Parts: sequence; C-alpha cells; structure tokens
Amino acid sequence: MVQKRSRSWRRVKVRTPSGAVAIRYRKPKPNPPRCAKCGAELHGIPRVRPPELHRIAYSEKTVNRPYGGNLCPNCLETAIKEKVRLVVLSEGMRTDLRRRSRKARKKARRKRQRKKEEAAEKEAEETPPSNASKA
Amino acid sequence: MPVVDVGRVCVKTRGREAGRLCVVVDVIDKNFVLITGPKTLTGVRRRRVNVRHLEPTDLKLDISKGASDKEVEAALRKTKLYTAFKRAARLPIEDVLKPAHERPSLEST
Ligand SMILES: [Zn+2]
Repeated sequence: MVQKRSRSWRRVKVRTPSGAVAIRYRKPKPNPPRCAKCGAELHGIPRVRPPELHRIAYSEKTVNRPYGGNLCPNCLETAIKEKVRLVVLSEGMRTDLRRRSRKARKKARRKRQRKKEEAAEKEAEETPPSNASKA
Repeated sequence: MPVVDVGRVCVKTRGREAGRLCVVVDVIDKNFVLITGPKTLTGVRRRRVNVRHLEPTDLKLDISKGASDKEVEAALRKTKLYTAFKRAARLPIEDVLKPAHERPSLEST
C-alpha cells in the first residue's frame, strides 16, 4: 500500500527488513487542548486527532473537576468567586448598591421621613407618662 | 484576607469539589482550615483545605470548634440554609461564564 504523504506531515526514518532506510509519514499532531475562556493549555487531556478522541475513554479526556477539560482551574475559580459574590450581592447588599431611579429615591426619602415622624410622635406620646412617673 | 472562621459558610473554588457549599469546622493555622459539607448534603468531605481554595460568604452557622458532621447538619436544619444546601450543593455558574453582554444585569434581578 502506498502511504499518503505530504510535506507538512512528520517524516520518520524507518529501517526496513531489507536494511534500507525508508521514510514514513506521520499525521500532524493537533494543537494542545486549551481553556475555553483564556486559552491556557490544559493539562491531563491527550493531544490527539479527533477520531482518536472518539476512541478513547471519557475519563482519559477530562480531569475530575467541574468544567474539567474545558476550563483551566484559574478561570473556574474566578467564575465561582464571581458567582458567589453575585449571589451575596443579590441577597444582602443589593439594594444599597443598586442605582436607584429618581422616582424610587424620592419614594424612599418620603418613606424615611414618614418613619421619622411616626417615631417622633410615638416618643412624644410615651414621654409624658414616664416623666410623670419620675416626678 | 478573607474572613474564614469557625461556622463560616464557604464555597470551594478548586478541585473536584469546586463550586460546592461547605462549612468551616476548625481553623488549623493561618493557611489551613478543616471543612465539611457535610458530605451527605453537599458532597464535600470532611477535610483540611487551604483557605485560598475557599470563597467565604456572608453566612455563618452557630457551631462550636471541631463540631461533628451531625452537629453541623443540625445547625443547618435550624436555619433556612438546609434546603439551600440540599438544593444548591453545587453553584450553577453557567450565567457567569457567558460573555458580559449576554448576562442579565444586577438591576433586573
Ligand atoms: Zn482559563
């Protein structure tokens, strides 16, 4: 069988049974797998051609981590941290950080004022008896 | 430095348990703490971890130093966190991975 050949393929010297040195051609190696977000090289994922990927086991093509074989650990970490902070923000401090519209701000101010007034009224109601008890 | 103390609810950011919720049970030294999921709830084993591999949240449990997994679970049951722990054992981060223009803004949520 005549071997396929191309100048870009890797050439390997092989000694044939007759003692002559023949040149055999090997298919080019694909680029290493990379992180989907930052493009860093991923470790632990074989650098093989697509049909070979189809043949090998799933566990050989991944690392045991969420998004293993897709994201690098650093990008995963930043994503998780971002998510955690987002959740914390949305449940705790969001209202303080949210840019409120003019209308909402006005409403909030009025609410605060009303509360203040109510508290003042309550205090005014409560103080006379306490003064009386003191006297 | 993140505030990582006993009872602090954290999220693991590295390794196979990355993205999972856990609770700090003991502080070993300035670099390492003992954590637990507990495993039955979030899948995080009781183990020593570097604090750099944790992301602290603003949540804290009322547990004593070196509390057992059972005690941690009981403390979780007392709070509203128990269902959250069971449901969101692993934080979904798909939305964060999307490019910025596709993400829902904080204002709308
Ligand atoms: Zn990356």
